[in-house]
Amino acid sequence: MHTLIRDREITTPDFVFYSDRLIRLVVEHGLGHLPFTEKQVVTPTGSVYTGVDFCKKLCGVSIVRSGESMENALRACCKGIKIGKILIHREGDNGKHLIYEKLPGDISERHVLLLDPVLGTGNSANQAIELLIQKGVPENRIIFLNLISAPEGIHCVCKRFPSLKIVTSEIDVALNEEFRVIPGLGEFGDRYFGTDV
Amino acid sequence: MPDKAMDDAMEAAAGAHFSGLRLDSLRRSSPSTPSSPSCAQANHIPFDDSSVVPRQPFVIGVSGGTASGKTTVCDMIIQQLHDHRVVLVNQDSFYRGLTAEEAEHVHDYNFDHPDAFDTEQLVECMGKLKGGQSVNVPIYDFKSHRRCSESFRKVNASDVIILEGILVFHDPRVRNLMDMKIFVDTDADVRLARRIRRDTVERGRDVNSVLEQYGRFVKPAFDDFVLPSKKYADVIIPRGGDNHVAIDLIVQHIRTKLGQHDLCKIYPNVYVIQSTFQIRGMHTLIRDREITTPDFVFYSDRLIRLVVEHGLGHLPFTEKQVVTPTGSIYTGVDFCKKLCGVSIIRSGESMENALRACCKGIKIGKILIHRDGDNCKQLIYEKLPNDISERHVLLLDPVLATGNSANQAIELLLQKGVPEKRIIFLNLISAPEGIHCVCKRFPYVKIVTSEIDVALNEEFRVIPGLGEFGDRYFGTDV
Repeated sequence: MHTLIRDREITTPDFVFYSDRLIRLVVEHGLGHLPFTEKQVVTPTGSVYTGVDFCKKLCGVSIVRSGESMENALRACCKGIKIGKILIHREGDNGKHLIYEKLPGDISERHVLLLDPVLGTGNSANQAIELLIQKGVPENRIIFLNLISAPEGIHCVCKRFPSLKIVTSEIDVALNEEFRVIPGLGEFGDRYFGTDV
Repeated sequence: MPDKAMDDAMEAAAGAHFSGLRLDSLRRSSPSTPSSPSCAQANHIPFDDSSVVPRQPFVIGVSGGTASGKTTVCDMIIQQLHDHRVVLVNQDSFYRGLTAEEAEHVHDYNFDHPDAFDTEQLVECMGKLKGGQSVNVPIYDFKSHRRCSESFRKVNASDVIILEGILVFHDPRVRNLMDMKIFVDTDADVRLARRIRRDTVERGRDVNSVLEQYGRFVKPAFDDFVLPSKKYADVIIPRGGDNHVAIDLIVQHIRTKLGQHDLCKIYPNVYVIQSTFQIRGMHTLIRDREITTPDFVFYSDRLIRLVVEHGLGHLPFTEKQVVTPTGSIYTGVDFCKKLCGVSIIRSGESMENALRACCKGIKIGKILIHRDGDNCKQLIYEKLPNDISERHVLLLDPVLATGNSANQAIELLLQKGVPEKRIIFLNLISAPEGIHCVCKRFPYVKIVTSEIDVALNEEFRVIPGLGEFGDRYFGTDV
């Protein structure tokens, strides 16, 4: 699937289809990191099954625009989940600026799944995490889900926020001098939403 | 609560290993020793599993000389396995009580000799634990050098049992119970230095008595019994607790083994998808007889999707290079193109959606098998793609119970010319009987499942299971 979505010749519907599948796997994996409580249920055969109960307090936060592509998969796994949004504008190459945020009011009591498909320099992610921490979300309750990570981005985020969890499907080789992930897949948002030029 | 007192006694008893004398004032000081967190964790078993038939626990033996860092290694393993139930059993708990005469000359008693331990009882306890039963481990009183006659430490069955002690590899019966044997190998000078520091600073003994005991008992016993048992170890960890790389590797291995059901060890073609809390949570929901139909459908769809994705991961592939929009080359793989699904009517049809969601336009054949009585199954309908013999086949049926329908279906596929090794059987819940039945007859068929249940009951239904999947999914409950 990575081979397909990274191919620059792929059509937009195929790109969306396979990235959705990958995102779904990442989301399921990320949900596996949530805490749980023991629970016993009685099955229709009358036997007792010892299982677990989900953590109830949960919300998603997507980084506009690419992160929004991951909302569907999250909704498909967690019905009626609250999803907040953060828009971070890129000024020049390295200065990023938060320009919009809309988060659930009780976000500080929830586990947060932060959604952004590509982790490049880690600057936007850091901005977003910073904002979540300001809102009172403990660092260890944030799980950052993405598809492709650059090693630089992981260093950048993990050094600053060591107790945060990152779930990714592949770690790429490096960033190039334009701060794009190599080999990467280009501008995820453009390709997913079909706004290529 | 009496348990509380037991826990305290236990903490004291399970402190860092040191053989030989324990002087009075030092006994209950262990909350400050490094082993106390692990004991607290090990004792804190959140629920009683009398109602669950556990699978066979994974038994790890940790041996090594005195002050080699065994306890540190155990602590690190326990910490890293935090999402599994782990108990620590200390060989020290199995010291024989001293007779009155021996107790008088306690300075002459060799606590490092294999005879100082009640190996019979150790074998019995470990055997029970391995069998998934809970046991009462004796509590040894280092002050009187006797067993506490009335109190025991209750150890519940767990996923992982760690047996730690200087001589746990000595007796072959104990050794044979272990799935993994770790020897902590630390330089003798380092060990002696640690031992001296521990016995003098932490336990208030004078250096001379420590050295005398070391020279007279500890070192000879190490050379005669402990060191020779090193050859039985599967893994030797140099430098003990400082060796993070080794401990990481060990924990990784244990995790892989825990993720596997025993049946996976018998049949290499049985794959259980890696369990997470989320997956167990979904199983908890769909197995609950009180769940509503929409919820049942929603969560079984999610689980099926995971099984399907996992199953697709077993298909062959070819290497392929593509150019990414950044102009770099990405070396990836190309899917196997020739694929089809075959669902066993009716329950199997519930898995078609997930398969279609992953493979656009996949061909799906159907097989209907009618149940005559309890054991005779008869094929009454089949509609399969014509070129099925050239395709990889994903056989869909959410519950594998006796394996009779699955065998019928696989038989049919083979008749149609599908090679056995091109069939992947996807299901949610398997009974061990069904796996035996299918895997014995068709050893090359791959089975991908999300959980293996305990057994079948006398009506051939899976226990604990989830009832009649088709009825619940399609809402035709009565």
